[in-house]
Amino acid sequence: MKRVVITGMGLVTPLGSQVGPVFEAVLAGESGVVVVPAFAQVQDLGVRIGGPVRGFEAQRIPRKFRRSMARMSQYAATAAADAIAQAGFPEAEFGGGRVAICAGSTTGSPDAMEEFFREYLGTSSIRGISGTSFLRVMSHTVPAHLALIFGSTGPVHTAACACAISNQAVGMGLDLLRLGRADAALCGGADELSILGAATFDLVGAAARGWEATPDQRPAPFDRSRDGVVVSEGASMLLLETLEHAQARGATILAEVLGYGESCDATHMSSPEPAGMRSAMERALADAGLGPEAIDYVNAHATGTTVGDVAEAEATAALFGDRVPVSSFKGHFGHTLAACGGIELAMCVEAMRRGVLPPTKNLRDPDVTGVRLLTEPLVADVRRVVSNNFAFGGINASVVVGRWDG
Amino acid sequence: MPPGRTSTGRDAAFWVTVTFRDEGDVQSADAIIEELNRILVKQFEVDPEQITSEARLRDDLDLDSLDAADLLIAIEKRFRVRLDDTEVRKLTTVGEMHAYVHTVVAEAAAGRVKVAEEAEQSSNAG
Repeated sequence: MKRVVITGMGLVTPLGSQVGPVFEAVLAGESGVVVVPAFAQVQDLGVRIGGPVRGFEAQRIPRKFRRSMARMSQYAATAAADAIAQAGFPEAEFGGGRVAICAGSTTGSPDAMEEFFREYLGTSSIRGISGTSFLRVMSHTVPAHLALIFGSTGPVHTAACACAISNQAVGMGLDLLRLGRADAALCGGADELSILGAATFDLVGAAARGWEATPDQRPAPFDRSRDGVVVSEGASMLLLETLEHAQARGATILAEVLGYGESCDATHMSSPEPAGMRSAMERALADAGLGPEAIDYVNAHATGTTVGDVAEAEATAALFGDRVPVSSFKGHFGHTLAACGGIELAMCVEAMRRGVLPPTKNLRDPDVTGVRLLTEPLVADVRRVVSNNFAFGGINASVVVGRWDG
Repeated sequence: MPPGRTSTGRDAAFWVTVTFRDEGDVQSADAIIEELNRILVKQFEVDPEQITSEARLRDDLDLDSLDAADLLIAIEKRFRVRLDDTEVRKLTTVGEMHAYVHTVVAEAAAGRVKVAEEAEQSSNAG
């Protein structure tokens, strides 16, 4: 099988859009979580805070593309453009049918859905609904727009399992490249902050409610005071290439994708199962041909829910014991849903390149045992990491990434 | 929707009042042209210098079928009129669009006045 490497990384996050400065913000313990005034307007919604993307310039995208693009697609396109630019990837290759797009969003655009149904339910007529509505609502709105914008004529695959989307997209890209079905793949996910996202976690009692006075204190993964998810938005796009393709064009290689593992708990739609989480990590390690002892860091999905963080800690402890440093970045970004996996992988790549591991923000009083939780930055020789993402439906997706030493 | 009837259940006289108060400045041909051009610039990001009566919507202003559908909606919402899809598809230039919309807006206004007058007469009779 062909080896697969990362040559470009692009982000749009509540903490900024350049990988280096975003990593430095994470290392400094900064927060992208703020009060979202629109949430206070919704009756019975307890959520008051979120992680919006600020200072985003949609005008950078030509109107002919932008007119049918939801914010999530605009974020994804911007992240993809940055990944392509960092990789120095020849744009002419997109027309050759050998570049895959693997990406997704939790749903089609919630804003577009709201717009459609507000008009329709208010009038019982479709008159007045934009012809571009469905192009923003459809489940492949993000990858389809990426293909259109970059003129990519290769395969377009939609990853669709909510919070596991980015990791799944990387897994899809890895398969396509290993099998020789493509030379490169743009992999990632995007979501936009919405009432739907905030309400979903609120309704199942998994959202941090209140905290208007100190929004940066939430979420608090692994902490005894944790009280739920903070929903955010953003995009992450990684450019994967086969090693031979990257080397043939003299690209700078950032990291190697060593393995991917996925599992389904098949026990409950929203309650996590440690055995399933562990299976995903084990399968990723097996795919990479590595044992747990080869891993220097685990980036946890840990979103700050009462149940999920404990389940993940249990699964991680069972596999890695208390030797391997573990941290989550949800305390910095909030939960960017479909985007989170790629954002976290980009942070992992930066951590390996710089030799320093950021701790979990808002973790002061650990509520789990058996794992080595970081509460301070750790200078370390990090060669290989496991990064986890888990989604409603019992979907578990883990990626193993290795430092590229040339 | 026939003049005088609205999906909100308001009667015709209400809309005559609202329409003339809010949009009295868009009843004249010049005002309608100005408003249509503003929509082209603001929503469709057309270069103002490209907007002439002879400019072709598709070939010169680069508005395609998706844009045509959204332009129709924008006009209907702004002027509170119902356009005829078949007539709209026949429009090829900015000038033709100006003329068609002016005609529809004038007809709609005349219709609203007539309905309001009838409503008033009916009210007086009662």
